Amino acid sequence: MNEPTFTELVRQAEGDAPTTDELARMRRHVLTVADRPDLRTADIAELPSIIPDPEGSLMTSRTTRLVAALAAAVLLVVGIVAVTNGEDDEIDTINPTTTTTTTTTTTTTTTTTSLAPEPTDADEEAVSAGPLPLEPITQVPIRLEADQYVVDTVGTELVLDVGERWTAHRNTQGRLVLGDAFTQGPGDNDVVFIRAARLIDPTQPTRVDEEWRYVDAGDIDTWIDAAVPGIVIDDIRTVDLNGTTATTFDVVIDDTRLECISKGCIRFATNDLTYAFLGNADRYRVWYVEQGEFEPLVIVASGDRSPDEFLARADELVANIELGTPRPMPESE
Amino acid sequence: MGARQTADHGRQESAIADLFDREAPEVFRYVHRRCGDRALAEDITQEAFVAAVRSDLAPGDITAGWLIRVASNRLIDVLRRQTNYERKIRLVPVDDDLDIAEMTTNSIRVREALDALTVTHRIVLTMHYVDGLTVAALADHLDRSPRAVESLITRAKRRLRDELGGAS
Repeated sequence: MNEPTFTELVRQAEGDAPTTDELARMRRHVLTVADRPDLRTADIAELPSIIPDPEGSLMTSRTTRLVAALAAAVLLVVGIVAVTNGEDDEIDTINPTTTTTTTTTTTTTTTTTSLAPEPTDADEEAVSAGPLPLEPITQVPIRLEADQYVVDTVGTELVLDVGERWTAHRNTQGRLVLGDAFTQGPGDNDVVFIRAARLIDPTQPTRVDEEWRYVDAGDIDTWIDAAVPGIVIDDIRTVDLNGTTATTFDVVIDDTRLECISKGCIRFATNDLTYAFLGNADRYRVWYVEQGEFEPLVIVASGDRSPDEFLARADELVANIELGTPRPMPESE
Repeated sequence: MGARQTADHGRQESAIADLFDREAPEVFRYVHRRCGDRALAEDITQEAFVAAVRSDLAPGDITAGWLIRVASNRLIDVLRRQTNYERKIRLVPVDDDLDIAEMTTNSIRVREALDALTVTHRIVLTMHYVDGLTVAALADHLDRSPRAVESLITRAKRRLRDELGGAS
């Protein structure tokens, strides 16, 4: 008999069903909140432990959310936004400025304050015509209004035409993640943009002696040719992204041929700060975009529940990207 | 409040009640499986539904997956607070030389051992081994270094091993 792995051991943990009393208590509390409009709005100071945003994201501090809510109020009253997400070291890249933006449609959640208004010289026409800068995000995913956004987290400036049902996730460390609004976590229906300093060694893609082994990221064709059979690649194509040529292909990790120790089976691309993984059993679509003398841009879309539908949405998103002049990848946050 | 507003409000409340009755048991089980603590599971389940009430989404558009994601993030939040606290009060040497082969495969003993873990250890183990959150992803969420997270996982594994050994 095989030895149990830790995964097998821990998966034996079970969750109990709630008792009738527990259900009744929870139900009473929830319906009390539903019944009281004063508790349903952004009364953050009184309800610091309650998640106010529709994405149910990671908690920021009570202070941060209170400041964000106040900022939203200021936005409405005087049309001036102060970007106050509590990440002082990142505010430089947001370029908050005076504007008459119309982006904030809801003031009862804190999430919309994360969308910085267009930084212009207050020319209202220019405001409505240009893309919105996407502020760095460290903890709280934000639901994006369908609009055009500009982001430079990955060095080269990207203009993204974002449709409905998209959420912006981690947007620092040289990486940007856009996810389906109902994604359930990393690697689940999201699109990761990362500059690839290195790619996983295609001949030894899983850990060897507890180490990940990487190869130079400069030649995707060689990487594809060298990939072991556990990396199943198909539909290799050259596509045009608004005037920029990219190589795209689909990948499935065959975990009957690779020894995956977790969902993040192989660390496909890394910028030496973080990485984009390919998990076992899911279907991924990769775009590889050369950036001249600099590190290539790698985009990885994952679709694990309705892969065809999500990958079609990712296709549309990526096909409409406008890439700026190639710039080096950020060295650090 | 006018008659129409009253009717809308009533429909909204009824929809929330329907949503709760339909999804609450699953959300609770999800949380309890990961933390092993009934009171915490109750709090987090409740907060997931309050988040639903306070969201811009119509109750009919909210799925179990949406609620579970809220709950999952709350679990991460609990874990982050707890590990920050632990970081201040102790430093534990890491011994990664764990022999899984010595562990029992008896499911009842394993569950008892899992139930005996602290909430922190149980959450980090289930999120890592059940949900597949990588060390790097956990480090991201917890604002800790990957090494610190690996250390936490190792301590949790060692604790589980100790519990399994003690149950014999």
